[in-house]
Amino acid sequence: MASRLNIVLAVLAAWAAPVAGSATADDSVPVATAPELGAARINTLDPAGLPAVKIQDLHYGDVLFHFYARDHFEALVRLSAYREQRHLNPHARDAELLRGGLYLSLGQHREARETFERLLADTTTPGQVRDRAWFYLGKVLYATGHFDQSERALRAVSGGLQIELESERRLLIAQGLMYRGQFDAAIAELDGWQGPDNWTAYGRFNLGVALVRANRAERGHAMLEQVGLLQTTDPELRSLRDKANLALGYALLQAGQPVAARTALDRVRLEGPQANKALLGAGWADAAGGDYQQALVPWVELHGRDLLDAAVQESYLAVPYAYAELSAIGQAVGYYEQAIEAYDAERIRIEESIAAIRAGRLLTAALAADRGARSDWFAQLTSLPDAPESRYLYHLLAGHEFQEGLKSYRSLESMAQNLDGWSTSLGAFSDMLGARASAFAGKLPAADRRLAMVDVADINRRRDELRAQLEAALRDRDTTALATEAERQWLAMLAGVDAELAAHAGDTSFDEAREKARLTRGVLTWNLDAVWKTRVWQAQRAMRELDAVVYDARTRHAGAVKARKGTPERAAALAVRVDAVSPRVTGLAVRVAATKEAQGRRLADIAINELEEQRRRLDEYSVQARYAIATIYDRASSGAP
Amino acid sequence: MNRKWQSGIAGLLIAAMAIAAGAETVGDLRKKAAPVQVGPAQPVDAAKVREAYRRFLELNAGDPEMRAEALRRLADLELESADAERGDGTTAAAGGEQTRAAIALYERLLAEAPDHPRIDSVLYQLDVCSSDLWSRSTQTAATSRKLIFVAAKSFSAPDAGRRRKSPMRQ
Repeated sequence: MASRLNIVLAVLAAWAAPVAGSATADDSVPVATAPELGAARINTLDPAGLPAVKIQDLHYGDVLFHFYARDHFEALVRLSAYREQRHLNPHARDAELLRGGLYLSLGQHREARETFERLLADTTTPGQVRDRAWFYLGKVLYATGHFDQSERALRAVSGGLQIELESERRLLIAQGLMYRGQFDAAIAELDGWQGPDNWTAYGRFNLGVALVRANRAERGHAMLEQVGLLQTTDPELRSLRDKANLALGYALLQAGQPVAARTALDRVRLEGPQANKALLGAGWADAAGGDYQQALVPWVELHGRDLLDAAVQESYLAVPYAYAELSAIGQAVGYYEQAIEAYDAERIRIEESIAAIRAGRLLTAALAADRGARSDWFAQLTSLPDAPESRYLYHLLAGHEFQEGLKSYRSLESMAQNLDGWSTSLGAFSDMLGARASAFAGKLPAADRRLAMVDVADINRRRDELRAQLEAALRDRDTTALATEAERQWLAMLAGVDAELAAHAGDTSFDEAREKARLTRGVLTWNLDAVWKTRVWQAQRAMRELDAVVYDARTRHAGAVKARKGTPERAAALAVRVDAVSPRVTGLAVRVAATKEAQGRRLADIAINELEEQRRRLDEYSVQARYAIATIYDRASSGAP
Repeated sequence: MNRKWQSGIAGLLIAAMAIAAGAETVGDLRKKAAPVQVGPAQPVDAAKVREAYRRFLELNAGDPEMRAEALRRLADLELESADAERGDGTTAAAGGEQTRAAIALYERLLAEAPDHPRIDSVLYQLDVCSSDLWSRSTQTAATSRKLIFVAAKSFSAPDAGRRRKSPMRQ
C-alpha cells in the first residue's frame, strides 16, 4: 500500500519528463509539458490569412467564394478544374499557393508539399509569394514530422510574412527544435521574443517547457507561472493558462515541491480538458505532504467523473488508498470493491465497443455525429447515445491520430460524393446531348426554310441605295427629296398645272391662274425649305437606326448559319468529352471506394488499439485493487491493524 | 453494499457542495472535506480472504513482488485451513486437499520468485507440508523425492516436525 504513492509519482514524473515525440503522434508526447502551438491555429488555412486581392478572373472569384464559405473541398475541386482549363492565369501564383494550402488543410501533405515546391522552383515567383510558399512548406514538413527540413524551409522566409504568420513561423521553429530535444536552441529562439498577445503567451509557455526540459527549472517555473497567472476571458488563452498551471504543477511535484505544486494546480479550472489531471495531481501534492484528508477532496471529485479518463481510473485506487492511510479501513474496502466493480463493468463495455467497431459500426456513428462544418461538433460528442459504437467516440476523437484519420475518411467521403454527383451529371449530360440532337434535327427543316427567305445581300443593297439618295439630297440641298407624300402630290399637280399653262402661253385669260400657280409653288417651296433641317435630322436618325437593324439582322443571320453548321459538331465534341470523362470518373470512384474502405479499417484498428490500451490499463488497476483488497481482508481476518 | 452507498454519497456530497459553492477551479474545492470514518474493516472469514487472493492470482498479472507475496500468503492460508480441518489429527485424510494446494502454491512461488526475501520461510513451510504428506500413502515417491530435495536446500528448516504460522508481510 505504501508503494502506491511512489508508483504514482513515478507515473507523474514520466508525464513530465522531457521526451521527444512526433508531431503526428501527439499521444506519445507527455501531455503536461508538450510544446504548444495552439490547437485552433495549427493545420488550418485561415481565410483571414489570405492577402487582399483584386479579382481579375471570375473563376478565381468562384474559388474564393467557396474558400471563404470554408468549403475547402469544393474550393479545391474548382481550383483544380479551372487550372486545368487555364482559367486562372491572372492569379496563377496566388491560386497555386491557395491550392497547396487547401491540400494542407485537407491533410493531403504530399500534394501540398509538391505544390509549394513547384512554386519555389519557379524562379519567376515573386518574393512575397515565395515567402508564403516557404512558410506553408515548412508547415507541411512539420506536420509530417520532418522537423529538420521544416526548420530549413521556415528559415528560408525572407521577412515578407504578415505578423500572424510570422509569429506562427517562429513558434513552429521552436517547437520543431523541442521535438528534436534541442531545448537550448528552442530557448534561444523564444527568449525575449514578443509577438501579438496570444502568440506571445504560447511563446512563453513553450519557453517555460523548454527551460524545464533543459534543466533550468527555476526560470522555467517562473515562465510557466507567468502564463499560469494570465488574466483573460479569451477561451483559447484560458485553456493555455490551464495547461501552464498543470505543467508547472507536475514539474514542481517532480522537483519535490508539493506545496508550490498544489498552488499551481489550484488555478486549473474544474471544467476543462486539464481538470482531471489537475485534480489527480492536487491530491498527490497533498498526499506527498502527508495530508490525506485534504487529498481526498480532489480525488473524490475526480471519482465521480468519466471512468474512461486515465486520471479518473487512477482516482478509483487513490481514494481507498487515502482512506487506508487515514485508518478508515471500512471506507477503503468500500471504495476498493467499487473500483473492482467499475473496472470490470467498464471492461465489458469496452469489449462490446470493440465488437461493434469490428462489425463496422464505428464510422457510421462517427460520421453521423460529426457534422464537420459545425464549430461545436466535438463538444456535442459528449452527449452521444450510450451505444457500444458511439460510447467512446469522444475519447477516440480526442486522440490526434484518430482525428486526423477521420479527417481523411471524411475527405474520401466527400470525394466519393463528389464523384457520385459527377457520375450522375455526366449521365444527365449524355441524355441532354441526345435530346438536343433530336430537337435540332426536328427544327432544322423549318429553320432552313426561314434562312432561305432572308437575302442579306439584298437588304444591304437597298440600305446602300437609300444612303446614296440621302447623301445626294444633302449635297444638292434637294428639299423635294425629303417631301412628304402629300407634298409630292402637290408638286406633281403643280407640274401638271404648269404644263397646261404652258400650252396656253400668251392667253391673258390664264393670267390669274398663272399667278395662283406661282403663289402656290412659292408657298410649297417655302414650306419645304422651312422643314428642311428637321427632316434632314430625322432622315439621318432613321438611317442610323436602319444601319443598326441591318447590322443586327446580318449578325443574327450569320449566327444562325454558323449554328446551323456548328451545333452538330459541338454536340459531337461534347459527347466525346463526356464519354472520355465517364470512365475516368468511374475509375476514380473505384479507387476512392477502395481507399475509403482501407481508411475505415485503419480507423477501426486505431480505435481498437486505443480501447485495448484502455482495457489493459483497467486490467492493471484492477490487479492492484484486487491485491489491495485481499491484503485488507487478510489483515481483517488475522486481526492485524 | 452499505460501504458502496457511503462512498457514493461522499462523492456526491463533495460534488454537490462544489456546485453549490460555485467552484470554478481546483483550489475552490479546498474548503470542502470528505467524510472519514476511522475504524477497522468488518471481520472477514478466512475463506473470503483465500478467495480474494485466488481472484487476484487468477488475473495472472501485476507486479511480480505482489504476486509472489500473494502466492505465499494464500499457501500459508491453505495450510492454516488444513490445520483447522484436521483439528486434533484423528481424521487422517482431513486437510489433504488444502495441503496439496499449498504445496502447489509454494512450488509455483519457488519457480516464479526464487529470490523471494522469505524464501527460507517458504522452504520451511514446504518441508512441513512434505512431512504431512510423507506419512500418507497417497503421496507419490516422485513428489516425495522432490520435496526432500527442496527441503534439503533449506538452511532454516532444522525443525521439520513443527509448522509455524507464517506472518503476513507488513
